[in-house]
Amino acid sequence: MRDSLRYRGIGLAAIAAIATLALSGCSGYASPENENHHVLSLSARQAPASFAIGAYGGGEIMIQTSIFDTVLAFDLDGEIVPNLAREFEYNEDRTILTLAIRDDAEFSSGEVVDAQAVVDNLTATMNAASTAGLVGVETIEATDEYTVVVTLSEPNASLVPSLAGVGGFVAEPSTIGSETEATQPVGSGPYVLNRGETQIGEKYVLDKVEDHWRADDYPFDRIEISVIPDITAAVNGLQAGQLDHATGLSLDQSETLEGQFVTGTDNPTTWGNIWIADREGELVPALADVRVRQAINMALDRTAVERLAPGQRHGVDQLFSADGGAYLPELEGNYPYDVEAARELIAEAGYADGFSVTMPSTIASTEFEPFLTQSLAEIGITVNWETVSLQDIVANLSSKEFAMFFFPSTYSGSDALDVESALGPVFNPFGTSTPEQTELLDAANASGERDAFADLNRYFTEEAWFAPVMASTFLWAHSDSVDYMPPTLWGYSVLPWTVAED
Amino acid sequence: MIPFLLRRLVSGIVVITVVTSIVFFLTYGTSVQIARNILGPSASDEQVAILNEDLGLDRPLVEQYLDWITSAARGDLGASYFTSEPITEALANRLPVTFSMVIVAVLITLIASLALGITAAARGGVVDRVLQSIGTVSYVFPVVIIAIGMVYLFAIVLRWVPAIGFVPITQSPGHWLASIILPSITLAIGGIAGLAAQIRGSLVDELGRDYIRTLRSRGVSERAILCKHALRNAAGPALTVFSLQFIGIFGASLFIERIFALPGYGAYAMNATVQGDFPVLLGVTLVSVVLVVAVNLVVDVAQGWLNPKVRV
Repeated sequence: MRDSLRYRGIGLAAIAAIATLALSGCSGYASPENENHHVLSLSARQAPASFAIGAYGGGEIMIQTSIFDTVLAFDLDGEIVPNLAREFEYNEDRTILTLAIRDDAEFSSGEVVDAQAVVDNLTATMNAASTAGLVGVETIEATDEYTVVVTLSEPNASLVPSLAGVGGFVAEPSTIGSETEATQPVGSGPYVLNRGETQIGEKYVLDKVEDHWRADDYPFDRIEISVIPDITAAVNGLQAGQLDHATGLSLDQSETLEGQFVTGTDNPTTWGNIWIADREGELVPALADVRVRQAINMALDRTAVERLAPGQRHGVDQLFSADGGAYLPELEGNYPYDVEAARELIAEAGYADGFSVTMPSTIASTEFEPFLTQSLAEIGITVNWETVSLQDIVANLSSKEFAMFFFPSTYSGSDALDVESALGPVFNPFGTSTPEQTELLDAANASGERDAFADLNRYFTEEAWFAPVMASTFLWAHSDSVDYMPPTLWGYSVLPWTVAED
Repeated sequence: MIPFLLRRLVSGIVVITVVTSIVFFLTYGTSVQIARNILGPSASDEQVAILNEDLGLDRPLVEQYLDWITSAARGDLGASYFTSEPITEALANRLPVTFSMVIVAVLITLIASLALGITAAARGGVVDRVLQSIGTVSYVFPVVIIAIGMVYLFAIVLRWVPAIGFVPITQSPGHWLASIILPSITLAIGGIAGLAAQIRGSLVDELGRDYIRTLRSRGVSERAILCKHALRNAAGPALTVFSLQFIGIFGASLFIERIFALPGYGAYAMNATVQGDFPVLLGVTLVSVVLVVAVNLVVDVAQGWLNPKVRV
């Protein structure tokens, strides 16, 4: 009898626990929303490393662009448009950029955004060790309360897109260099970080600034961005009604969600490339011969890469994004997959017996290593893979340890920034330059035309400086409570999301 | 009892010191270029050298170690290299998530194991075989599959509980329980079978001993024999298994937090490892070792209380 009473007690406790769960579950776990209060719940793969000006180290930039106004901005079509600077204009030789700053912007602290605030931020960015932006800037001056003049030592087309990205973040000047700037940002953007509900590194809660000068373009009163590295967890969150949008789905996941959710594909976000870095043959003499580099391009069956992740990858053979002005359709298929022709080129170059090359095996390359090993082996190039940890990648790549390597790069939204990255210390560790390339680069920087970098693209392709392999895109799904328009520049801001029409 | 406790405490401090020292020298002693990784490829060698100096990385390794261990002894674990977030603060935010899940998992493990183990030992026969079969199945079934199945049923179809995220108990006890119940059950399932089998086996042994027969002959009730005498004597080995499982549950939480997107200690440790955020890595190592030592200490004390011979 006593035993049965005891068991009954355990049973009652279990029922009570289930009842508690059921009752708490009655209110649901989706974000609180009603007709007048709209919440956007998103997931992010990686948290912002730091909010400090000049210390951007990866992560979802849309959190920063929600908190900080940028000097200029990318619109949904990828065009650079005025933002904090209501007008921007170069002088004739494109060495002086004049920015007319809006007079109606205010930091969340109540301080006014003026020219000096912009100067303080751009100066901090320029002097920061960790930001690759504002290259070639000589001086930044406030010439009156709302005018900033940026002077370059020579024309540099990457300045304007930098001001629309991480190089253009504007924080309250008194926070720059403070102990709290990395975790407690104070900006003038359309949203303010809710410090009480935000858990740095895990979940970011943003509350709308009702009197922001562009408030009408931001329909959500609150944005919650949870850091969820695992895509399955994000899909579960979407299906359970806790998230409005999940991105980075596999084709299987996308097909499963089709019908229940709105599904689609983003524009290409990253591209994978064999960076043929040792173009002067310091480590591997064969790579100094353009015919060898061309043969590498011809050894790649780029359609095979598409089959590795259907719907998420397509082969590319140019450095630049197809959305930019430098992309040349006539160069498509410039190096068709032709093993025989590639072997002949290698033989002509004097390497008929082949050669070997050591490439770093990284978290980004492992999936492609069998494909690359086999492709290059077919033309006599033996690849030895050397494991490099994620922490060591940047240091190893930029210290001339590898003659060539496979590594992805993110499309920046700007031909000028893509070139700057491709010729920078990580992807061009041997610092290769030629008089012709330098001339083309200088001309592109001084041009100001949309297709300014097209000739440089032609040079890179013909000289086979790179062996582009594929571009990646994301498959996504969202609930019917929001609408989403895939932007040209993925992940830049929260503007692609709007409240769904009934 | 006090000398016994002191001995355990001293050995615990030695273990903590040795483990954290090994981790310190393994991480900081490698060739990883910390300052270069923080600043990125655009930084000049001069800027890298300045940061190395700021972080104290240009000093001899032993000096860095002594600095870290004295600061840690004062409760100052430093700040993350990458986010500048104070590590003590970050741990204070994340440990409640993990502890919530682990404590509930441990409670579920204990209650279920005791119920299954005692029932199987006391009833025997078909009940024993059925319970053992259930235990074996739960032991061999991959917990990840169980987790996914439970998420699908309870979070996606029924929407009784959330699929992802954590709600602090201070915000809503009901939602707190709902947010951790699935991960806790997932963590508990693998441990229940092993602990229940241990309890059952020890109890069966005890129930066959001479003193049990003597107690029965004196008319002592079966319930008193089981709960007061047999269970106490059978508890020693079970406690050892339990302490190992507690540590196992804590370790497994690293992966379970990822599946349920819980912002806990495991996710923090994982990110630090991937990024090479050494101060964070050392901080989470210290907490893990302290926890393991504390659990073992508690189990040792409990063993000593149950069996005075252990204290000698």
